[in-house]
Amino acid sequence: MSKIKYIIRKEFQQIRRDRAMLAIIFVMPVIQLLILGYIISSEVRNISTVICDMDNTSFSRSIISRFEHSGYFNINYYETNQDYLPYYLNSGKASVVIVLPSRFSENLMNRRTSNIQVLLDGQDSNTATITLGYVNMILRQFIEEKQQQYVTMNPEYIPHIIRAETRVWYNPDLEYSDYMVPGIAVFLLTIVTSLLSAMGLVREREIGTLEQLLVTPLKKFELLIGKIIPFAILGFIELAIALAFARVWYHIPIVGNLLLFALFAVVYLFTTLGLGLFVSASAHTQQQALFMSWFFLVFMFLMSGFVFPIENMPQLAQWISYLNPMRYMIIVVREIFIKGANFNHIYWQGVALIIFGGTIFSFAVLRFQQRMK
Amino acid sequence: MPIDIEITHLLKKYGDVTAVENLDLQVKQGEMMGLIGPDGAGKTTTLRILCGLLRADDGDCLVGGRDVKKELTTIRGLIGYMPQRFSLYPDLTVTENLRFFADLFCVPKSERETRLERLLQFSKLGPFSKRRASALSGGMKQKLALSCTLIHTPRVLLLDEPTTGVDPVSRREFWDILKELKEQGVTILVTTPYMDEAERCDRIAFIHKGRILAVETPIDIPGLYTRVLYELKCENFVHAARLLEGQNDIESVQIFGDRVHISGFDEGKILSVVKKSMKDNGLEQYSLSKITANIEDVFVDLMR
Repeated sequence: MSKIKYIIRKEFQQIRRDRAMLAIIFVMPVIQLLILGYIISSEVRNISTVICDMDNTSFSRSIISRFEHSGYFNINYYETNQDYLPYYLNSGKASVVIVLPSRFSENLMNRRTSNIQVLLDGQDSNTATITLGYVNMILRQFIEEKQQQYVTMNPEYIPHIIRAETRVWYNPDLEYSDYMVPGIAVFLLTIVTSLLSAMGLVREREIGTLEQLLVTPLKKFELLIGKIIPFAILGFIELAIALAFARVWYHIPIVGNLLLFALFAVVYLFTTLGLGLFVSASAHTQQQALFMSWFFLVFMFLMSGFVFPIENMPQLAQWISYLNPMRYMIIVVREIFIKGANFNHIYWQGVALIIFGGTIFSFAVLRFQQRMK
Repeated sequence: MPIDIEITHLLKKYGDVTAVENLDLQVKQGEMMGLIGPDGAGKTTTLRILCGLLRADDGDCLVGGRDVKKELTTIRGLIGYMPQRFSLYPDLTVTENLRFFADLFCVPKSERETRLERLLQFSKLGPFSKRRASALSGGMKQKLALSCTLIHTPRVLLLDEPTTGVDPVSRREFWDILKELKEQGVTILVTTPYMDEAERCDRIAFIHKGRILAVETPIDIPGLYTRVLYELKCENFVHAARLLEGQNDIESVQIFGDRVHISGFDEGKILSVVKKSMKDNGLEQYSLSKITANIEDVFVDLMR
């Protein structure tokens, strides 16, 4: 048992000497936290907009001013000729066209249905959907207000209005960084632990020291544990960096129990270290190891809900995502950090992580034993 | 003298290829045995089986009287194995490499530093103790590798081509160290492609196609030679060699530097064939003398 600590000490000696490695461990997370916390957001702003106001009344102008002041739309063009409208979308000058038809307000005043036409550039379906959401929201608010005014002016009229009072819980300001940064913490933990452990054994195999280790009285399980613990420690260092960043830089209120999170992180490490170990035992060169890990990691990242919400995926992809251990960890981190969830709320995620961790790690150990014969 | 390495009827196959077959070898305690043979003869396979990196398909290997298959853990403490491509941790210093292996071999802390000092002195690596292994020269790397192999004072040393790719001066130094170790009673089994190194061993084992052809002391090796050997010196030795090749009564013609070695079974017949050929082709200026076979000649002879 005692020999494990010599392997661990040697690993740290090597990491300390390796400048590139130090940069990967300490500089990479800071850069990623700085950049990813901002750029990954599903908030759409500065939408280039064309207004075609055929109605041209004070009523229509007040609608337009709502768009102007919403903060989402930049009204760059006013067009009066409907035939020219496609040009703006085709040329990419605008991504949304809002058409207020003639007699729009007149129809409305006479209690007739009147329509507003919205043309969207659907190239980026996500942005288009969000844009449409904004348009609807602004129009709904406007109409509600108008109805309210009408009721105030005509007290005998009893309106059938159902008003939705929206209140956002847990993240009341809908700060996207609150949503993203905890995810980045898991992302970093996944990368560092799986990639570094994937390189670990392969590197020794490549330079030939593995054979040297195998003729010492070192037992195989001692080698295995000694090769894993340093990366688990580094993973926790990454997490600490990410958490400090979340608190100090992004002012994210971490409401949950950090110890509970650490417990889940330990369970999750069996998955990522197991993956790394499996790759390390299978690959012959570091290059192979890198590509093999990358293959797994790309799926894990894209199908975890880290950036793209799982609910927006096609049904089949949603089912497949249940096989992705990172999916559960992303839920756990958000539940704990933002909602302050306790163990009972994330119990099932814990069970899933134990099953995945246990399975993947066992496979990795088997592969390791097979290759060390 | 007790026997430290005893191999009997060793068999090892890699798929359809037989690497070692029916191999027997005994190395006495404190003996330095040289294992020589062409590439692919089974040298590395034999050493790897002895230190437990490979499993034999059949046969027995005893090291220090213990069975490699059954008492591998004990045997690992007895053996020092230096593979062909010994690899150190390039990013660790000389001392860190030594300490790491000392720890893995459970060298007691109290003894560790004195042994370290001794090995550094003995390998002349003392002044470079704080240098990273990647910054050492080829010869120094080999000496550090040997030192790492010796850190647990093994009783048996298995060295696989330890001086390949090392400059002649370092090679000599390395072999001086081996001699010293031998005098301290360490049993050494070493493979080498260099015949001059083989001559420094107590005994030499010739291995070919996975079998031991002969085991002999360097002094008695010429006695294994079954033919007679002549050395021809002349101006146009390449031309002369070509003339003699394939002639009746001449078994082999080989060029060694600027000389030609001619072998056959009958002294008189060789002499007359050579005389006739030289005369017929106008090569009057030459000298022919009978010589004793060297290790290489014997090996070529044995391989037939």
